[in-house]
Amino acid sequence: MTTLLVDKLVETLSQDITVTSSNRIHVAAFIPYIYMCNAPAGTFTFSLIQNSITIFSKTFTSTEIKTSLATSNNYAHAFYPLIPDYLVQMSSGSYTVKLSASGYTPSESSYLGWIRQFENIQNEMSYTPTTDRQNPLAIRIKTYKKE
Amino acid sequence: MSSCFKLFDVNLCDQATFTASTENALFPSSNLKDPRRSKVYRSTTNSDNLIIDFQENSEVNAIFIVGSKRDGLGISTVTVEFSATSNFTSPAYSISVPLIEKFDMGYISFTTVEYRFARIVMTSTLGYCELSKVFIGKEVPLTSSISFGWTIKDEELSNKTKNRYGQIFTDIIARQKTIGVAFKLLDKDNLDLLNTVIDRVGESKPFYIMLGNSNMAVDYRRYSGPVVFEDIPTVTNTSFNRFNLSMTLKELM
Repeated sequence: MTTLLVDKLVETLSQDITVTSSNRIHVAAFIPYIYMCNAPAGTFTFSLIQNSITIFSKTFTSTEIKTSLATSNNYAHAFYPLIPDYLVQMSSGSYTVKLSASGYTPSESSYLGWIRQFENIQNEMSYTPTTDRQNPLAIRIKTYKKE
Repeated sequence: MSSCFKLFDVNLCDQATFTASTENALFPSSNLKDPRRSKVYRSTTNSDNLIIDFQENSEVNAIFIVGSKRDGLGISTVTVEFSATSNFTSPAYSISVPLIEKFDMGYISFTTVEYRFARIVMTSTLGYCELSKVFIGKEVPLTSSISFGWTIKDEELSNKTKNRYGQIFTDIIARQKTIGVAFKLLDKDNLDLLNTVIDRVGESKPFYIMLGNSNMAVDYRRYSGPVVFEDIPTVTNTSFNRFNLSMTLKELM
């Protein structure tokens, strides 16, 4: 049985990340690990922030999550890809990824969540968690391979 | 003009003056005139512009935006505006240049316009906007009847060494395209146009090509961009007023 540790989106959820690549990276997609409980209404916004400036944001809805998964089920957990509409590049440094919402009222029976990651395959953690809740909110960042 | 092979040799930026909205002193706009792609112009914010004065009214029907070979493009969006004066409050003509990260470049062609000033309006997500090379100019008007074939090979410039256990150690550098083009049965007019290009750029000055179109390649920009002649092309006279010309082009690095 799989256990998911989910942070419910109430107002915002955010995760600090550090890019350590010496080369500039070109982002193909940001892929947060999302939990959808009963397809909540509202518009959700994923943002990439550097030095308090939002340098990328993209909105999505429960309907779009269901469409991308080709399911009519209102419950799902999935790495949901957010593909930039314009070129997004990142260089080494600190960033924050954030999830927020509008027109959305979370409840016990209907909400959007961001899943905390137990096994970090792609991202290295900069600290050692002492409790499960200290695990980072899961996100994958897919980059274009340079020619 | 040819729809499958386009040449662009006179870059108006080479003789132009630049006025940048912001400029990192270590990466001045004058680097845009340096033929090396590692030499870049870099601004200091995520939203900047660069005014280019061509010194005189000049015809333009194509734009290339090129990123550095190591880091690729350093911009998210770019629009080029044109004006008869250096005042860009209401530019006379404006065009967005589609960018592709995979090939580190952007390219657009359009109906010829003629203005003295251009302004490159850039946005980025890096905290600065970066341009390696910019071509603004006009296509060489080869006729559409030319016949040609071509080859392309990516040359791996990385240094690989292998130890006695067969393990490979790689000093990763980059790949460089080598493009061979063979024109067949050119007439004297097209040959003269190509000779003019060859005289103008020689073996060291970069020029730009657009090879293929959407009907013959999923993304023709793989075969396009800044190049230099590997050596001066060979011309063969096959019959009266018919010439074969073969040339080898190296991707600008």
